[in-house]
Parts: sequence; structure tokens; C-alpha cells
Amino acid sequence: MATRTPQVMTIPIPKSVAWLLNWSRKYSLWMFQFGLACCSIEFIASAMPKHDIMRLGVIPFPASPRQADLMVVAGTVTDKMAPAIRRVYEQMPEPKYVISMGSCSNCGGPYWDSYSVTKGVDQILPVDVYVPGCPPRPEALLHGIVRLQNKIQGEKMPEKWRGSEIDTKVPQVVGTGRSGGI
Amino acid sequence: MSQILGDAISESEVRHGQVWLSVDKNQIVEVLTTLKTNPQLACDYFTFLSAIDWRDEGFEVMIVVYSTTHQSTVGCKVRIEKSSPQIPSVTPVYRGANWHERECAEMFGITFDGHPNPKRLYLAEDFVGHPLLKDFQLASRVYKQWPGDRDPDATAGEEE
Amino acid sequence: MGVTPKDFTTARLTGAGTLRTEEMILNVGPQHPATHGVLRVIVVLDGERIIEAEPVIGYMHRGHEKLLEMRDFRQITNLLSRMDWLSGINNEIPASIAVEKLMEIEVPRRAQYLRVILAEMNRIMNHLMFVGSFGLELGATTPVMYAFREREQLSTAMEMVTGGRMHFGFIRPGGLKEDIPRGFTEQALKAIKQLQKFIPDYEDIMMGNEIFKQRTVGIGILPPDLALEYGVSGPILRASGVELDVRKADPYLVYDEFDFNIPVGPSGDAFDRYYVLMEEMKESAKIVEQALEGLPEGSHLGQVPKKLTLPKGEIYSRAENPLGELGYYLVSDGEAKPYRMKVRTPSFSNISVVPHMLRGIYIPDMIAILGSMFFVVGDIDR
Repeated sequence: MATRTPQVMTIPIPKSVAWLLNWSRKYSLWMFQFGLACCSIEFIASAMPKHDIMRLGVIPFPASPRQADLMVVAGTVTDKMAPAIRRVYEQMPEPKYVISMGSCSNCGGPYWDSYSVTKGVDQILPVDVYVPGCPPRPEALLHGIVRLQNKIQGEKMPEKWRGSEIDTKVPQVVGTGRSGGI
Repeated sequence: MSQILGDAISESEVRHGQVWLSVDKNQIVEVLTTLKTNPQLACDYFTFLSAIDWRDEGFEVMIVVYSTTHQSTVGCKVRIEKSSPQIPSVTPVYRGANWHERECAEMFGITFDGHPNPKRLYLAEDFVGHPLLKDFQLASRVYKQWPGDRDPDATAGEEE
Repeated sequence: MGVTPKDFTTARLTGAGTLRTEEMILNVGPQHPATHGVLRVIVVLDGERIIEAEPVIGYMHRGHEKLLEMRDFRQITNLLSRMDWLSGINNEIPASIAVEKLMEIEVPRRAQYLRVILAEMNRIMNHLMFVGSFGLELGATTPVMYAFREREQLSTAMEMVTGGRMHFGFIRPGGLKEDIPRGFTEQALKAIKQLQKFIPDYEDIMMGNEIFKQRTVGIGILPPDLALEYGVSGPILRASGVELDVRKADPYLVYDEFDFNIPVGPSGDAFDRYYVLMEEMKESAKIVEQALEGLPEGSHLGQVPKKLTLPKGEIYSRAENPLGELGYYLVSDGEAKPYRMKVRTPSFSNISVVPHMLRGIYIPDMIAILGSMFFVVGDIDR
């Protein structure tokens, strides 16, 4: 992934327009849930009527990554699965955000000493918000989403488009014909 | 429970209500066929197949089956040497052993002769080594000893 | 010579040239909206009909068996409950039973009853999840909402006792960690009564629905002798007509003191598997009611030595997980950690029969079959 060339957004945007754009973006997140393991159950529970995430403007189940803006990695990331996650992340259009849910995707969690677990999804993706817990309660996930919304509200558009938010030093994990031929 | 077998078994014992037999590796297929087809034994349910790594004494492969009519568990244990870890596959007798043997081969490095599909099951394709061997060190533990690895009873006096 | 364009056209139209089709290999990938978790199925298709199918597993392989050798006996329950993440308490019970049998610890009756109550409530929660997600995979979004409403009630009851909603870490060798608080019995009864009131609704929504019936009756029939040979267990085996339940065949805890039936399905298709789930939920509700009524007084933890070192020995202890037979083969060599703990998980054996079931069917039926084979990927890969 090459660095973006800073040709876009040389015109300064008025603050109210930037505020309006951020506000509309933060309340219309379409969340792609990458539910891998136990945390996905708590994620589904947070989308259910008792702890409703739709009231925050987050719609839970899009059909494909190409239509999503927010990816929630819920569950343990194994070495075999890592290229698939990276590929799904690359399929999402900009601007995109990542929430890492649960301690397995934060740092490896209870499987810190396993031979086949990637210790934290931030080794392959840039993460915006970490939600700790094993599994985090649905209320914790809601809190994480609210934090993300605050972060989006405070974003500066020119910086975002210039590519400084995207970590371009992430190692290329996508392989050809390795790890199951993904 | 019922211990009505005969031939080709070197020793047997009943432990906790389950029958455990020690079988020689060349006769394991016959013993399992007898277990399955003999109407007095009728072990039709395949429970699991796995191995234990006894460091210098070799591997011990366990095959556990269960009889629904007599409601008893029968386990067969086969000792094999580490220098030549091979054992005939029991897939012709119990088709369910297919995946169990693939997993065992991957984890311990045991070869099952006559297995129809000896491919990797679990691990990533570029994984090197057999994880469940006792010599396989977990990288994270080698790097740093886990600070929680103290005996909880040694600190028992400090609790309230 | 003498071949005019008219001859070519005639030849093509009269079928002298055939339409050649090739087989296509389709990858129902690890990440898919309709499969449960990260199971990848590689299917070889001829048109819409499946010729061969092979599940590729290992995307959730975390190496439990190796990790268990590095942990103390009291620490392993935390890892064990994360294998099959929908049935938390049921994963810990056979491990504690194995330790108790090896060390010959006696468990007080109150603790046994409480273990049964928690285990059966967890079984209902597990079945509710599959009731909901089977509907979701077939396109129905209402059953999930209803199922989770009941799950929340039960989760609240479990949380009152254990403090956790999904992974509990509550069962200790010798009993439970703590006794139940005041108000648990009322909350549990309330949840069970609500469940019993709403089960006829679930039956109507799904099993009375024409579309559901057309999509599942006669689809994915599993013959019983094949199922036994592969080691299939749990509701899937019972739907094929084999009445095998570890709670009755090899009673552990105090299951022999309760009065419950084992539902068996007639033919072994996807509809029967769903039917068995619904019936099992009713039976589990009966068990919880009986246990709550007959809860004896006593202590919640038996006499356990402070230092938990097992004598040398091996034992295979099994229990009825909501998904099937869960067994732990525990080898101990006298230390505080297990020497080898083999985990026999139900979904591993259940999914090994999938290639056989998926042969010769259409793709939409594949989704219905995979949805009806109740599995949890963490259980397959450990």
C-alpha cells in the first residue's frame, strides 16, 4: 500500500462543513462484524433488543465488506486466519475504522502462549478503539462505539485524506498460495 | 463391565467402569474389527483416537470405542517406538477415525499406514514441527517466564 | 468443398455440437455471512449440484491441548470453557469430574444439584442460540430476536450466581466456587417459566412455517449407522433415531434422580434436528424445575486439599455437552499440571460426517444442512 500523494484537499474546509461531515459519518456507521469466536456472541447480543446498537446509528449486518465502514474484530485471530482478515480489511472502502473487541484480538488474551495465535490483531491492522474484556459485556462494546464516535467527531478532514491515519508500515501478510490458498 | 474377549491382547484392566486393553500394533486392526462385528461386544460408536508422548518410552496411541447396546466403553492402547512411529490406520474399520488420525499425525508426527487422505488438518500450511511433542517449546514461554507461574499455595499465607 | 454456411448452422442447431460444462470449485470461504463462524467448505460443483465437498478447518485452532499442559488444574477451567463458547458450564463439569474421580473427592449433594441446575440452564441457552441462528441462515430474522430475549433472562440468572455472562470459571474440583445468592431461585424460575410460555410460539414460527418445512424436510438425512461409526453425538445423533444420551447411559452428577425423557427424531433430516432441539429445551426446563424444588441444604464445596496434586493415573470422563459428547482423557503423572489432556469434542466428530452428507445436493440445501449441523468452530478446532 503506497503512501497517498497529498493532492486532495488542498482547499481548506470551513469548520462547520467539517463538523457536519463528521457528524453524519459518525451516526451512520455500517458495521461489518468479523465475528470469529466467543466475542461474536456478545456482539450479536448487543445487536439484539436488550442492548440495541441501532439506537447509536450503527447498523449491524451488512452483506459484504465493500459496503461497510466499521470492522469489529471479535475473537481470536489465528495465524491461519490472518491473511483473510487483512484481505477483508483491504476490501473496505475509505474511510474505515477498526474496533478490536475482546482480549484475544487486543493482545492474544488467554492464548498468549499459543503457537498458532496472532498476539493481537494490531499486528496486521491499524486499530482505532480497543475494547477489553473476555468477553466484553455488550455495554462495554456500546461504550467503545461511543468512544469511536467521539474520535470521529474530532477528526480533521485534510489529515485523514492525506493518509496519516493509515499505517503504511504494516507488514504485507497477504501471501499467494500460503495458509490454505487464501 | 463385560470383559468377554479373548485373543491377541497382552493385558487388560477395568478402571472406573471402563475396559482398557493393551494391544500390539500389528493386531490393532483385527482387534477393532472383532470389537465392532462380534455381536456380544458390538462396539459401534467411535469415540476418539489420540496419542500420548511418554518422553523416552515412545508414543502410546489410544483408540476408544463405545458400545451402545451394552453401554460400555472399551479403550485400546498401542505402544509404538519413537524411532519408527508408524501404526496401521484403523479407518477401514471405523470411518470416523479419518479426521482423528490426521490430527494425530499432525500433532505428533505419527504415520498411519493406509490412511486414505493424509493431509494437514489444522495447522497453517507453513507451520513447521509437531506441536504436541514434549520437546516442542512454546515460543512465548521461552522468551519470558510467566509471572503468574508461582505456586498459589506458596503464597497462601499472604491471603486474607 | 461443398460446405455452405447453411450446413454449419444446421449442424449447430440440431445438437451435433454439445454444450460442454466443467466442474467448478467454489470456496465457501472462512468469512461468510451464512456459515457459523470460520468454517471453510470447498465444494466441487457441477452446475448447481455438489459433487464433492470438503470442510477445511483450523482457522480457530488455538492449541488448547498444548496450553493445558502448562497450566495448573485450577487454571484449566478458564481455558476449557472457551472451546465451546456457547455452553460454558458444561465444558468445565467433566474436567472437574475427572479430577474428583482420580483424587476420590466427594462432592456434597447441594453442589451436585446446583451444578445440574447451571448445566441445564446453559443447555437451554445453547439451544436457543442455535434455534435463532438456524432461522437467520435460512433468511428469517425474527427467531433470533426472540431467542436472544430468552437468553438475556437466563444470562441474568447465571450472572447473579457466577458473575459472568458466557464464560464462568465457576466449577471447582469438589463443588462450586460459591453458593447461590438470595433471589437466584426466583430469577431462575421466572426465566424458565417465561421460556415455557414462549416455546409454543417458537414452534409455530419455525416448524409451522411452510417455507421452513420445504427447506428442511427430507434434506440432509443422516443414516444412524453412519452416524455411529463417525462418532456423531448429541442432538444430531438423536434426530437420526439413536437414543444415546450420556446423562442416561453413564449418569454423572445426580442425573439419575431426575425424571426426563430423551427426544428422538424419526428420520434424521434437518427438520428433525430442529425438532429435537425444541424438545430438549422443554426437558431441560423440567429438570431445572425439579432441581430447584428439591434443592438440598448443605455446603457447596467438598473437602479438597489445599494443594491439588493428582496421583498418577489416567481417566476418561465424559459428559453430555449440549452439542454432544464431551470427553476429557486426563493423564496425570503426579504433578500439579496435567501431563496430557486430550479433549474429545463433539463438533469435531459431527463435522467429519459433513462431506458424506453434502454429496449430490444443491447449494441452497447446503446452507440449510450446515445450519442444522449444530457446531461451534472453537469446538472443532480447539
